[in-house]
Amino acid sequence: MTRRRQPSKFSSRSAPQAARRSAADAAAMSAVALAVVVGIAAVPRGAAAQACCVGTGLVTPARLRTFEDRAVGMQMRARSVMGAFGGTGSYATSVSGNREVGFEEDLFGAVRLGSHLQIGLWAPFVQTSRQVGGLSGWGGGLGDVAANVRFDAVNAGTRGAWPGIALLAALSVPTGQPPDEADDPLATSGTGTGSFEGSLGVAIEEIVGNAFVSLGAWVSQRSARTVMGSEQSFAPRLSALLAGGYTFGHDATVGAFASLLRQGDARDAGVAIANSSVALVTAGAALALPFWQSWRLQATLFSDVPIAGWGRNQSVGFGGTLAIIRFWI
Amino acid sequence: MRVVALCVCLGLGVAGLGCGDQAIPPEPPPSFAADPDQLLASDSGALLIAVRFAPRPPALGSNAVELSFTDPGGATMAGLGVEVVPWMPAHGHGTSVSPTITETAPGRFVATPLYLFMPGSWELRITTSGIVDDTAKAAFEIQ
Repeated sequence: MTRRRQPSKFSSRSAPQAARRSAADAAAMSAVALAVVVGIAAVPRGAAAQACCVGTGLVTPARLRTFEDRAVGMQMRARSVMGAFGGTGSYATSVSGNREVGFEEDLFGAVRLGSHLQIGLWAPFVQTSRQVGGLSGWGGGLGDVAANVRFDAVNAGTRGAWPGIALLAALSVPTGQPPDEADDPLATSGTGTGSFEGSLGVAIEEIVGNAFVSLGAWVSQRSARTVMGSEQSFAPRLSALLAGGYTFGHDATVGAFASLLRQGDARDAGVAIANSSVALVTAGAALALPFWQSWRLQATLFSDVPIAGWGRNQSVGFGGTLAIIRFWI
Repeated sequence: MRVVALCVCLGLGVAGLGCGDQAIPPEPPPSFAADPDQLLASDSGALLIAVRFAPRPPALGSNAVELSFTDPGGATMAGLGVEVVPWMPAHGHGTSVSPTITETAPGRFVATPLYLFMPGSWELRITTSGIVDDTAKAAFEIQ
């Protein structure tokens, strides 16, 4: 296989040259780094606001920068629930005394197959703590494992005025335990959706000086589930992620992002189920800090938007992520 | 001690092993209002179902439901077998504990506990057998 690598100025063996690379190059690289962490944290996942349903639609969990061959990493995520959207879009804050906090430790890796293609694997480990009325509990386990493919048709900042353009695909498998198979009343050991899910998407990135903006959009389809002999199917889920940021010296990058998730009514035996759509808007800030020569530290703070009508059938929470990534070039 | 247990659970989670810890306090018998929360027809129309929740309206946490079955003329339907599955259609899952169904009077059933652990739109998917094989759904909201 012929592999077209980026110029060796990005190699760890040529740090002096790397230090002199243009501001645009630095911005492009850091933009990608930040896009990775934003993507990890904010790509809308199927019912991601519910810790039990984590793991679907992770389109770019471990994205490689143009000069990287492979990378592995771990992300920690915490999210506290502060309210919820009902099926009609009404919003209510959590009742005093009720509490839900979700945690994740996500292991991921990615490898490059040629200059434009990369594949990744994502394994989430999920824990949930719930206190509801007189009940309380906590539990967790392996979530739904996802694999993804990214094809960079045009790398950002490499072809004049062209923006970076990438095609995305992902598949998650139901390795987690769905809530209805959990072994505790509050289903805190529910860690997965119980469904396969496939996603296709496109991402566009534009670099302007030390700033960047990126827009990604995905469509995801979850496989049906059967209960009491009747099959429930799901509408395609549409997700979008808008991110922008600015790169400072030493490739430190800060940015902001907003994501949108929208899924139509589920169907039972072909008939739409009223008020079963899903929607959520999330916004946040992100930070990427490279350190040593082959490590990155990435973090986000995020909050779902608690405005009535902006969500459906989702809990509303806030939280943060912290990821550490080791990459090889 | 709880912190230690949580750390153990986190470790098991990283190892890919699920675990959980739940304290379930004893619950008093549910009491239901006289007037129903919902009046449903079964999918075939052969049954009318009066649905009463406790607490009322249903809330996050432990709930109970009483289902009273009559024919369209209002006559009590004795001799039914009943199954109830709480289901959250938006997320495509049910509850982890199947409710116990008790016939408290001819044609009147109580399902408990309903551990509704997430806010949003829920359904009770009801299946009857015996003298009438039928299905019905009671939709309700939890916030």
